[in-house]
Amino acid sequence: MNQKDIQLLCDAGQPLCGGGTLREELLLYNVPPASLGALSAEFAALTGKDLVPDSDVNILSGGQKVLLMCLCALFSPARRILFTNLWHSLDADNRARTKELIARLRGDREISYVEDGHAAP
Amino acid sequence: MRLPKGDYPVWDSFALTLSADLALGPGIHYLSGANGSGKSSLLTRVLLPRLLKTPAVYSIYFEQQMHVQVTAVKAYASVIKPHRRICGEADTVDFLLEDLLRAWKNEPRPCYVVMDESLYAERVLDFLQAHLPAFSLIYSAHTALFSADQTILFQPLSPTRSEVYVHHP
Repeated sequence: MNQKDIQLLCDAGQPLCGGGTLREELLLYNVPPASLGALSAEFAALTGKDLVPDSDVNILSGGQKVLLMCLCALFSPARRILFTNLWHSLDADNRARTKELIARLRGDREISYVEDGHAAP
Repeated sequence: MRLPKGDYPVWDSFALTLSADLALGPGIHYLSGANGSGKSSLLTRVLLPRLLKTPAVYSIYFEQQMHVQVTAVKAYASVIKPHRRICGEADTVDFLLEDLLRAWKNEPRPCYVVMDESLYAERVLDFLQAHLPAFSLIYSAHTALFSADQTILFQPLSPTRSEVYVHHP
């Protein structure tokens, strides 16, 4: 498959893919270990919660899981990312923060959105 | 269904404080609050366990992130007669609503429908209004989707506690 055709699909309806720890999520997204500190700092700034590799991410709220999914995607090496229903689970403040986060961390990546729900991007 | 005022330690490090009794009778009840303020915790850790222990009512719950629920309903629908093909979230919602209606027609009881930031809120409300004379619809969302009889606010007091109270405009 042409590398340009590969797209990371991030569905906010199923934001966690691993078995329950942050470590597993990071592995699935191929997030470099050196990025853990920066990812955790961004998450703490958004939610006030500190995460370590062994943190149980299943106990996060629905919106916090979506924020974590978004951060994992942005710290992954994916060149193309498709977010599905990203905004639906986020309150107004977190939508604004997430837009800022994406603008700051996207680099030259191609990011697109599909939204089925009530929340306009 | 009435939740008495008081403290509800829903997680090891998170509690909800109901500043007054919360009555969830027939009508539409809208839960409003920021991410992480405890809306889902009230639904899953306080309300649903009580509803499930109340045999005289019917209750259904639409999860915020439905993938596990879809799988469970798919498995159930594949072994009942007549078979019902469930292809996704919308089918799951329809299946559960029709199941509720079938049960209610067989033996009418108070119906509680709980939705946690569901993408299918309007679909659910349309169905309920079309088929049931009365119901309690309790839903959380980041914006009000339709006119509610009661708005219940979740106000974080600290990272470990939120206050829950009815908004009186």
